[in-house]
Amino acid sequence: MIQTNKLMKVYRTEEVETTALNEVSVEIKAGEFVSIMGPSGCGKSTLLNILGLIDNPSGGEYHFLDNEVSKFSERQRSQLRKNNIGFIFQSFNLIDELTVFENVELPLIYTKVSSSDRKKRVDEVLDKMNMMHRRNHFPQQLSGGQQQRVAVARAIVNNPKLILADEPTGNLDSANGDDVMKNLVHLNNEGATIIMVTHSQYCAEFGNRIIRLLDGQVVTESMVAKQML
Amino acid sequence: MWRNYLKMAWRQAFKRKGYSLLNIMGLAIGITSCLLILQYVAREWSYDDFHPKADNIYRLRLDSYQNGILAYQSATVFPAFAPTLKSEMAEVVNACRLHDAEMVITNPENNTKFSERKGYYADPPFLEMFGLKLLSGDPATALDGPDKILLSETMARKYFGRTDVLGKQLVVKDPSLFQSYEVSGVFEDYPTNSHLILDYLVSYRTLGKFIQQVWGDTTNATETNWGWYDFYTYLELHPDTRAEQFRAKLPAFVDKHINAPRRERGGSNTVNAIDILSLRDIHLHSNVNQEAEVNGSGWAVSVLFLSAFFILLIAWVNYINLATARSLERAREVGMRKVLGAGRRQLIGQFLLESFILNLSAFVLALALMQLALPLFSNLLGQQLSFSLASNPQFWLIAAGIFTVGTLLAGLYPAFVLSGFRPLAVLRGQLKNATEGMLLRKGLIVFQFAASIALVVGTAVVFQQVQYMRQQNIGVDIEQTLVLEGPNAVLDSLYGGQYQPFKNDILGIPGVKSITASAYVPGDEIYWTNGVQWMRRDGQEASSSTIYTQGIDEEFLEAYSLSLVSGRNFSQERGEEEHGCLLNETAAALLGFPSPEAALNERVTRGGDTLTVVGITKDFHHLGLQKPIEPLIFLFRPEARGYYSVKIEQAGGNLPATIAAVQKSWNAHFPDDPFSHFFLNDFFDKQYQADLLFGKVFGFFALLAILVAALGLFGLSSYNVIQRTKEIGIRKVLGASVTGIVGLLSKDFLKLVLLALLIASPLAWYVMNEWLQNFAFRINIGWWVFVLAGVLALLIAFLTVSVQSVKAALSDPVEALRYE
Repeated sequence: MIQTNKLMKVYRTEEVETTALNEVSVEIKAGEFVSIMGPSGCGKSTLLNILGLIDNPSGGEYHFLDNEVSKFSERQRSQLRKNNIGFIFQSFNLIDELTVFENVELPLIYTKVSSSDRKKRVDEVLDKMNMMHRRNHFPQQLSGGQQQRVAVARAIVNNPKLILADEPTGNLDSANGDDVMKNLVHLNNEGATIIMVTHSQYCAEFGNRIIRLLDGQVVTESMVAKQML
Repeated sequence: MWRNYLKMAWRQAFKRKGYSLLNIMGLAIGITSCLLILQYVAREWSYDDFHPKADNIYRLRLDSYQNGILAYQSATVFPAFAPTLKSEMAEVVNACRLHDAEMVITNPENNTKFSERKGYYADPPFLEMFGLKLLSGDPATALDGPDKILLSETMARKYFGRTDVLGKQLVVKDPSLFQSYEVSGVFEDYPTNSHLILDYLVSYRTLGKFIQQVWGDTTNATETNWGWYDFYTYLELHPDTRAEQFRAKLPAFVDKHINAPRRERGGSNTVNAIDILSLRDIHLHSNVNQEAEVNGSGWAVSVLFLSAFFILLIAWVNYINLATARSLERAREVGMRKVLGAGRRQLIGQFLLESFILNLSAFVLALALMQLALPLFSNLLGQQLSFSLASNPQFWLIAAGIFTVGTLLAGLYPAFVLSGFRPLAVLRGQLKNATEGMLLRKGLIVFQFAASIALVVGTAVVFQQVQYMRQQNIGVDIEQTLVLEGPNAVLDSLYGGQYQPFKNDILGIPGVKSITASAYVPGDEIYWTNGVQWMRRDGQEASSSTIYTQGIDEEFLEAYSLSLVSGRNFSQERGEEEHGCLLNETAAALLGFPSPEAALNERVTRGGDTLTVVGITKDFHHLGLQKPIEPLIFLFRPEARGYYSVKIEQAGGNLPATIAAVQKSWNAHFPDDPFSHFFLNDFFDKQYQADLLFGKVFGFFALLAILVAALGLFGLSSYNVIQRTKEIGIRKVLGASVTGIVGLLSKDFLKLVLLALLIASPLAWYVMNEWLQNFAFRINIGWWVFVLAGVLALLIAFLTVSVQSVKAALSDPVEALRYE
């Protein structure tokens, strides 16, 4: 599903050149749940953003669903993104002015799903995330855990092939964090490919493979022993 | 999707109530101002548009050159033009003349009598050319013979109480003749947006008959005269005729009929020329001698029109500035939408919808504001503006245009900026304050304040000029002067016997200092002109000059505190004073006298009479300071009956009692004439009303412009403070003072205002200097006007910005840092 070849990302300011990713080559197959770990500034979020098609690499190749996308325009990436990728962020990134229902509905609007279908599908995922009773609330009326569940619902409402999660438990207490992780595992079991960036070894081990980055380079890749679950 | 956007827009608006209110108020004020001004401008531009033949009708203007110098331009021309042009020029389809017909009209049946001024002797083709709608009477014959009068509906009601008055008789009293006119028709009230005010029309042949009987004219002057310039002359040109082509033929025509014969006769240094002016252009683009009514100023209307758009632009700029300043706040939403698949077009659509909703709210509010402001504005203008929504499709067209342009213009830029954010940068919180956007925002603020400052400077200059004109010593004492309009309904033969006892009565009234009779009073345009020439003793030929004539009695100079530079005043006792004359300094110089003393006892010719110069008066302003001081010749006319000026004692008098006594005496001596009076200082001041009005309107909108600009600055500075919250917190932790913070936050904005001042000043100076060229006597625009406008703008900007910055500076630094 995903294959990168010597992916580079360099940030340039007038005086400093920072290499965020240095010849990163990874391969992720459909159905995998991959955790990316590493200290702050090691480039893990950069990698996730490039994989999620919201950032462009400075060099190297990136094959996503058999397309070489590293040179795609924003419009092409947007097209690929909205049909195939769901995002979950540390800070939830819900839109304050929209209700729970409307937030979850948003990806369907942009993929031009009919109104009646939207209602059906949004209600389905809200039910699945156990948020139906909050469907008409606004984000600021919810707890952090609830907000992240809404964000997960939004990420999956389009049935994306790939779910990207950037520190999804970072702003949550451990109970709520566990809850989110269980949801991700469940989604993975249903067939979604998941890539998650995390600081936490505990969370990382919910996945089946861990990629460790340091200073923009892959240092180790290891499989997770499944007896953990 | 649109429902989602709509919801979003509403919730955004409610979430940021202050911001939305600022935006909507600013836009609403801008739109209201613009619509109000447009109402006024549209009316000014509509003058004489209603004529079915407006495009083909032109009025003649007469130019008179003496010794190659333009002596005067007149809206009235010689009576022979109309018939001659029509018979000789194929392009002229029709021609007609109007001649002033001021008279006292009486309905003998009920003795209703009024002194009427707004009527003309008119040629029969006038009815057809000007599309007058007759309610009764036959247009073919209504003006064809002598002694016929056509009345407006209102006029008919005034005299008869009804409009079916065909065939009724009205008595007209003139100092020379009492006549009876037959009402030959009633016309629908003439529209007020015309350069003519028409209450009645008297058949043109009545004038011919009158001058034959009274003046003994045997030349059929009203058809054939080439020197009497008192006739408004309108030509209807063939629709295929181009004005330029026709105009090119006029010099030859004038030469053939006027200048060539004059050269053959010899002894004249006058050359005439004529020009044509489109009917529609008369109101705004003609300001020469003998205009039928006081015309508007095309320049002033254009300036107002421009300022209407400036105010609107300022309001739109507010929207753009506030919306882009808020972009930081909206960035996360935009980023998320993009991550979720929103395309740029969809985002632009969303933000345009928001702009649409805001503009719509502002627009609805503006319509309400306009309803409220219209009576005030009408009051300010002294002119009734009506706001009939349904009946005016043009208004809606313009309004819809303003609305659409506003939505797009104000909405597109923020939409592009917001939709252009890179989602990653936004979500990472890496959104930098794009310098490009900052530059634009700053540029827009500079524009707003430059426009406001220019408007303020304009207002200040207008008021200063009016003030200057009003305060200047005009050299003639017009205070404490009650002016009576002289009697018309007294025959010349009886007048002398009636005036003297009246004068004695008036002088006996307590509080009256003196009374003087004259043909004109200061502030009243002189229509009585003649060529005057110095008869040099050395036999050399002196040139002839057109000089304005004033008829006065011997009390006039003293009553008006006019001083003599040389010679003496007229004196009844000397006798033969009708062969003497006084000149003002300008006239003496124009006629070629080397000094006022040298003019004494010299002889001049005027219209066939030889007069001896007995005195030279000091120059004074007969008209307002817009006009240069004109050359004047004073003739001794103790029986002058244009006006009686009654000078009232300064202190302690009982003015109402004095006026009542004057009126009582008037009614006793001139029972057939209505008592009509005014105070001369008010009358004189009326000459400045148009400029004063312009200043008021201009000032009113300048204030609105500043208000709108300040609203925008307020919003922008509050966002600036929000953006710099962390910086402020850190600075405070490190020990910055409140004043230091306020200074820091205000400095940038104040710099922009200073820049605006630099840009606005030369522009405003140039435009206002052009305006001042309309005045013969004018101020120099002082530097302090710019300083004043600058200080005002800076003060307003500083107060606006400091509201926000003081709040930020006083806040607890921990708050600021926690915010991050």
